[in-house]
Amino acid sequence: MPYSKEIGNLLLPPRIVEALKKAKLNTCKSVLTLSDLELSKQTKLSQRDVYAVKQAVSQEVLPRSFITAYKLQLPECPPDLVIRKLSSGCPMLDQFLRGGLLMRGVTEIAGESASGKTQFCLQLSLQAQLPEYIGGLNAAVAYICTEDSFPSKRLQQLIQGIKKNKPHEASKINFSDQIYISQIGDVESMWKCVKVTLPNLLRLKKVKLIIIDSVAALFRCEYDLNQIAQRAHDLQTLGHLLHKIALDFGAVVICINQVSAVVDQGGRSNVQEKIVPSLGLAWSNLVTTRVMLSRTSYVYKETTTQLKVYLPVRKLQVLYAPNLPPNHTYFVVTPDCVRGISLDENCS
Amino acid sequence: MQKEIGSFPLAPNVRFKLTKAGFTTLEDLKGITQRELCNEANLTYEETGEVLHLLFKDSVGSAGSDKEKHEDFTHKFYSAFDMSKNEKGVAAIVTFSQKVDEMIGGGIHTKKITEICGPPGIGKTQICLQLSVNVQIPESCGGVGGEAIYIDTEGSFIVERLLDIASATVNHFYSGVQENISQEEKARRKNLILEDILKGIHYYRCQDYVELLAVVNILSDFLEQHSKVRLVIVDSIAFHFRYGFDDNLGLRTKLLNSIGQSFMRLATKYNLAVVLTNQMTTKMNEFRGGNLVPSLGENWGHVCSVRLLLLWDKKERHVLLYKSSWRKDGEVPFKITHTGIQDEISSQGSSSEELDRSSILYKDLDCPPVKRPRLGS
Repeated sequence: MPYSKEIGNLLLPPRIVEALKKAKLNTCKSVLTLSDLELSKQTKLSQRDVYAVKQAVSQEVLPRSFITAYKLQLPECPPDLVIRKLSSGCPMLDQFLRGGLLMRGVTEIAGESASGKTQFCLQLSLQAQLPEYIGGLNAAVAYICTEDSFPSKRLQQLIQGIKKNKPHEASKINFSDQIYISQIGDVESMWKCVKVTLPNLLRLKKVKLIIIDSVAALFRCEYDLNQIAQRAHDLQTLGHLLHKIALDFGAVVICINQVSAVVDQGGRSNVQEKIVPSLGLAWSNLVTTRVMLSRTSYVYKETTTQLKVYLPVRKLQVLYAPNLPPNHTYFVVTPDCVRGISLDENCS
Repeated sequence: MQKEIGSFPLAPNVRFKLTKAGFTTLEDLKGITQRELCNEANLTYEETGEVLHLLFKDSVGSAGSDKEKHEDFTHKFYSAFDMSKNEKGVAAIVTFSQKVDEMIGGGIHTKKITEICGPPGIGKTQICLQLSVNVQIPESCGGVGGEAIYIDTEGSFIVERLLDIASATVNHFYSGVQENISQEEKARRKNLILEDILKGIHYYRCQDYVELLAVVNILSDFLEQHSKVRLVIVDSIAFHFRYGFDDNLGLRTKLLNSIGQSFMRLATKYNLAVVLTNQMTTKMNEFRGGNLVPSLGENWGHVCSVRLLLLWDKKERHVLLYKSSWRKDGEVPFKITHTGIQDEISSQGSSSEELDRSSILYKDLDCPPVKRPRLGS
């Protein structure tokens, strides 16, 4: 970390460095968190010197200067500022999502049970392993299960599907070998995982997709009604840790969430929806992109060569995202994959 | 001239030496040369230089740059009349929603800190993106003709979304231009303007609060080099300050206040508008119910001169003017489309005049809301 950098390496006159050392201000962070007056008191330096110190330390801490938005979209943009996307594995859904899920912050996929959340995430965990030129990340996946055991059988089925659909790219990849699964049963082990195990894994292996299935399961059961404040605090901590992992390692972080019914309080809240993602405001403040899945009453008729299959139509709804308008589209879960459909074809 | 030496921000040891040598008021030091002071007070040559510079800065300054005299309000008293003259230099950055602009007095004002708070997904980032484009509307079109600094703490600055908003804005201003040029030439020129807009947004991604403090420290240097900057955005100020301060809320308050003060100083000196976004939090009241309030605590509320609250009312987005020293409180709807911020016109009692305006303003924007097919049965 640059903050622990020794003050002695800064380009400052020796007498100032001496004064800082005498005041036991050895790191950049300790200098920056003091106000000018405090700094002047502790080091007995004049205001001008304090200004010089602050400038030098600030320069030291910042890895780069401002960059114009113009440069951000050019190829020479610094790699950590490039906005990469993970394709959803279906061209139609990708078009709707403007190319896929953002490698920025935390993406939440919420939905009632059996709305296709896990299916969607399993598909993403295969897609992430594909090469970059077809929208993958060419990297492994960390899958953290809290609700149920990992659906290995279904994964195998989807692997068969992807090998059939993209034989050229997918044939050489050993998909199930690159999904690291961790089963977590309580909040305590969640902390251990997010603080220690996960960063270690990301350091050792090339993991670029992290899926938590689901955050809600842990945080909805382990807290009493009178521990709401504690829960909000813990969720904030989790959110920040995930943001940090996404930033430090350049990973897509996806959290699955459950939904709760809204009790209309008569106030002016966002009562347009009857059902909202659970875990409350403290958590949603930290969600960068929020997607909700739900089942509809429509049925999609798929005609394959041998037989006709009827599939329930599901809805994918963007509630908010920095680059997408609130909108929705439809998809179905077939034995082979999750894919988008337009409602007019073969629906009833 | 009877001002005491002790009232100046001198290093304690210097002050001590001066007092010991018998210098207690400004009068005592008047006319003394640097060398004399060296000998008398037993100070180094460097130190005396600083002392004299600090004490007699004002008298030296008046002979110096005119610019400083007019714009630096930090060290002197000014009469209200002078201030009101100077206030004419205050510019306003339009939001593109006429109703919102009217409510807040023509747009986001320079020399003020404006806070925009609201629940997630209400459009705080979208407003910031729109403002960073709008600050660049040239003076000939009634804009400010400035540049923007965008400090991103949440990672929600997505260039492709900025491009949407910027190109819609370019289209809007270019549609009125009647020139006998080919479509290609027109497109080429629009592209050039678009490039300029992107070049006028200086972006920084802040990873934690220490970096944020450092960025604020180097801002004045950057502003010296980029004199066109009229807008500084921090999206959001809350993000790094809502985590990791559990056992040290005092430190948080101190740091936030010092950031606020730095921004206020910069805003006055460089004629900047400062826009900070903030998250919402639930404040428990005695009935075990919760109210939504801006986060970061009571104290932070004093830092901002204007507070705008974004909220949902049924399916409409609303802006509520929550604090302002010179406009009365109000609430108006607005909407966010593919092209950016607009007036909400579909709602209660929209007059034909407003409809006209919007159809003129946005007639060339090519994105009608996409209707999804619906099934009857």
